[in-house]
Amino acid sequence: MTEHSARRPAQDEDRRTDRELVYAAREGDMDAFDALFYRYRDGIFRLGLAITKDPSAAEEIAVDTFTRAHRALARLEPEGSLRPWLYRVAVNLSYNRRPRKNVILSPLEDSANDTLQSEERSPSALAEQAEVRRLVLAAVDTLGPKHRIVVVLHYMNGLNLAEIAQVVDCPIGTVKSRLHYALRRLRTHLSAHPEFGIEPAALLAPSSRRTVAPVVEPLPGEPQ
Amino acid sequence: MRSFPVACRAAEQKMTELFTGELRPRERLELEAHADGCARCDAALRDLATISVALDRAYAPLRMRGTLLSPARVRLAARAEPTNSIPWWRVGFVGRLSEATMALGFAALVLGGSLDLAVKPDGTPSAPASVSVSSPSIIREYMRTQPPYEETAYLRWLRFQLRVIGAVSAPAVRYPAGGQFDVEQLSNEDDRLTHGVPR
Repeated sequence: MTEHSARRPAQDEDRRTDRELVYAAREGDMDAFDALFYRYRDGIFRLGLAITKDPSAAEEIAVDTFTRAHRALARLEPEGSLRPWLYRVAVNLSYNRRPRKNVILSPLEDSANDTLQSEERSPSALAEQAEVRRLVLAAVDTLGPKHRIVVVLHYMNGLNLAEIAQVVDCPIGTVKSRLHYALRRLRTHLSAHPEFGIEPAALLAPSSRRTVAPVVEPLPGEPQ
Repeated sequence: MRSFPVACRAAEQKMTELFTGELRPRERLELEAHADGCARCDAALRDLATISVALDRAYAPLRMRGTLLSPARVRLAARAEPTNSIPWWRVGFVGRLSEATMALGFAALVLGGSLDLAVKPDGTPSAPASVSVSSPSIIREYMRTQPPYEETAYLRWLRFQLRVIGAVSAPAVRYPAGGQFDVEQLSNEDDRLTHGVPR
């Protein structure tokens, strides 16, 4: 046989659906379980990294997530993708995790530079981008866990509203309003920085107008 | 300035969908029409779009990060878990038994000063006899189920595994392509780390 066919199918080349893989793994096919592992390990690792900011903790979370999946194989019934189940476990593990002591956490910074340097930019533009990025991520950290996880799941893991709803086990409407609330909070936070071009004056309007909403339209000549 | 709160709230809902790319063209037109006539929603739309793009860019480097985790680690961890063959009504009992045995073993350790002397200080020969036999294995079991965080300590832990327990159980397990590295490292007996027992 050729080289190609001799290669193992484990590394994300398995074309079977999650459901088929789960059923195969239940029968004892460990290659099927490995295929699931390769398919989702990076997403779960990133999710854990975005929440804990600690690469080794993120790896630990990935291992724990799949260990739970392995233990739960007999009762897993994925309709489409196994991703919502895995992500939900990973989110819970990430938030229930106690942060390790004496660890200096700066993993989100070092990776920023190598990707940005690949584009051809001037050093000042690069520095400005890195600064904006730092500001945005710091602002996300000020959000509460419920709102932060929605932001992370959408902007980092690229899940849409329905998928996020499955992960956090909420109606889509709730996810929508949480995301909107998170964006509004970020707007308030980032308006202090002129880099974003957000006018602070425009921010005061929403809350005041919402509380005293006009019942009738003001007449054209009426002041205010 | 001419705006209705209900319309604004509907527009806010649509904005979120717009940023997630799930807004239908017709609703998008409605949103734009509303934003044209409502300064507040217009400003909100502009600012939130800026933030949405900034968030997308901020997470871009993180999206490219991956891990080289091997499925062997999951297998090791899964093997250390209690197996599914234990019925649920016995899990609690077994768990409590091992805890109690552990506690007894620890008490004996404290009293006797060492594991070898553990039986003698207690007057009753029957119960502590089983303690002195089973407690080292429980400690070993504990070591086995607690993989350390750091990479070097983890490798050391893996070596300990194969030397102490794995020598019996490892040949029965098929390792995947990704796991062979671990096994090769494990069998490297002349390494001086082999003599170190993880704390």
